[in-house]
Amino acid sequence: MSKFLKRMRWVVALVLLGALAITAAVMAEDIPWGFSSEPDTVLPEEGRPIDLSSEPDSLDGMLVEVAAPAWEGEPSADGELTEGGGLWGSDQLQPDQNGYEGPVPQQEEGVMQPSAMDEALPQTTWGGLTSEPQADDEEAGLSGTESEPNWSNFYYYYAAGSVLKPRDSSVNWASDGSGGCIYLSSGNSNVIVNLPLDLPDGARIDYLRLYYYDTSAGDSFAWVTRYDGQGGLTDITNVASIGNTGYGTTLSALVEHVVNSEDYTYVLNWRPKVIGNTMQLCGLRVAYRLP
Amino acid sequence: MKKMIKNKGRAAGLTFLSLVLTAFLLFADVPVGQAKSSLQPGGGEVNVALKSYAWVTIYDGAGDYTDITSVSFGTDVGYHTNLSAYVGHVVENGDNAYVLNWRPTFGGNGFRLCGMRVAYRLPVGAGFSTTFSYVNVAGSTFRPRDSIVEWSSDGSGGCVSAGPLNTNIVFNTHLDIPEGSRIDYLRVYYYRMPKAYLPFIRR
Repeated sequence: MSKFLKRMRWVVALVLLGALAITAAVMAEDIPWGFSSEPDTVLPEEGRPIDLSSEPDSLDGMLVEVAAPAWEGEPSADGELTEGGGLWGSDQLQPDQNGYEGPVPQQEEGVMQPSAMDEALPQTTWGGLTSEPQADDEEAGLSGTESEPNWSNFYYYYAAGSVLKPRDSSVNWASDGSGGCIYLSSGNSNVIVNLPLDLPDGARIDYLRLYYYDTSAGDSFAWVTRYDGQGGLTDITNVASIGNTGYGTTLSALVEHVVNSEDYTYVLNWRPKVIGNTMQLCGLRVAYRLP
Repeated sequence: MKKMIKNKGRAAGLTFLSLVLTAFLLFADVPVGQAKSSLQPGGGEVNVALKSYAWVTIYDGAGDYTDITSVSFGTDVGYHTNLSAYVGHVVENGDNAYVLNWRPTFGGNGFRLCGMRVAYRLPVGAGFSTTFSYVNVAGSTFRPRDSIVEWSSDGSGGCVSAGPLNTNIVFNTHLDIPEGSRIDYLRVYYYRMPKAYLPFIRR
């Protein structure tokens, strides 16, 4: 019996040691060992927190259900679903739900802007860049509805440059300090960045406006393409950047293309023709009218 | 006899040492200031000082921008959602491009952005609709503003996670809301993987 107890003591001691080793290993993962830092790791800035402590409808602990894996055979499933899809549910209406009548959560004063966590470039406001009346500006009175009785005033689809992404993975890209402009940092300067253009069926595209930052000798090009899904395509308008003085904007010719969303998909495109931050796409704006 | 006593002593000593060290790990708190930069999602530790951020920015195309709302998140394990404060911003598509942004802060597939939802009210007459309309964007449609960061989606294909490096790089996607609408709230959906519960770890 004593021999058995003796062995058991050793077993218990070894088990405890093993558990201790695992515990220590796990704890060590959370300790900032200087020598284990990954090279080039960029850590978030400290001391500039966003204070949103008043988050009123945090659903902490309100995960009510995790759906059973339903991914098998579905087109979107390209791998093993390890956690299942989350289904949200709550008996309590939230401020952003219809029918909510509770207190309205307010932003606290002095909250920093998350974009400011990046180093910002010197900013330029449009000022004199568009001081003259523009054809795609309703307020300028150049394209009022008096001459277009069957069409509405202008509506705009305005995309920041940084939301367009390359069609080809062979290139590298980056954004400027503001986060709104994109440029190719390496690779083939002819690679195109694009973005779906989602306009109401029957709307009429009148103009495409290009916003850019250009200090290079070359010119970039932006355009709208429609695809039929069978290899067919049509470029319905285009516009180029001009000059090399920095921020600028150019406007296409009048297009008057009526959108056919049933048969075509529409895409915004930009070809930089230049590698580096001397040629940046800062935005594309489509001016359209509704019937 | 002496050997038996010696062995008993060793066993007892090892057991005692294990218990003492375990108790230390169990009850000792890692100072937040030291651990802040290394704690990652997946390590079930909740560190309120380290958060991921979601926000909406408007750009004027000439390098000027304004963040109209933001929400921090990421301190809870499992699937969660956080809501911004009330915004009350009226959309002006003629002058501004609207963008949804996500700064991961956390790297690896243990932390995932699963979506953002903007609640807005359509303009009605001189006011706004009494009911909300929504733009709901899956996390996996976000892409980094800079190609130096890697990313991947989860098994469902709806959530996105940033690679382990450069977790400060912002992911974004276009936000299209009807002209004159009033943006009231930004909601973010995320998932943070819990670490397996191991013996003697209080998590």
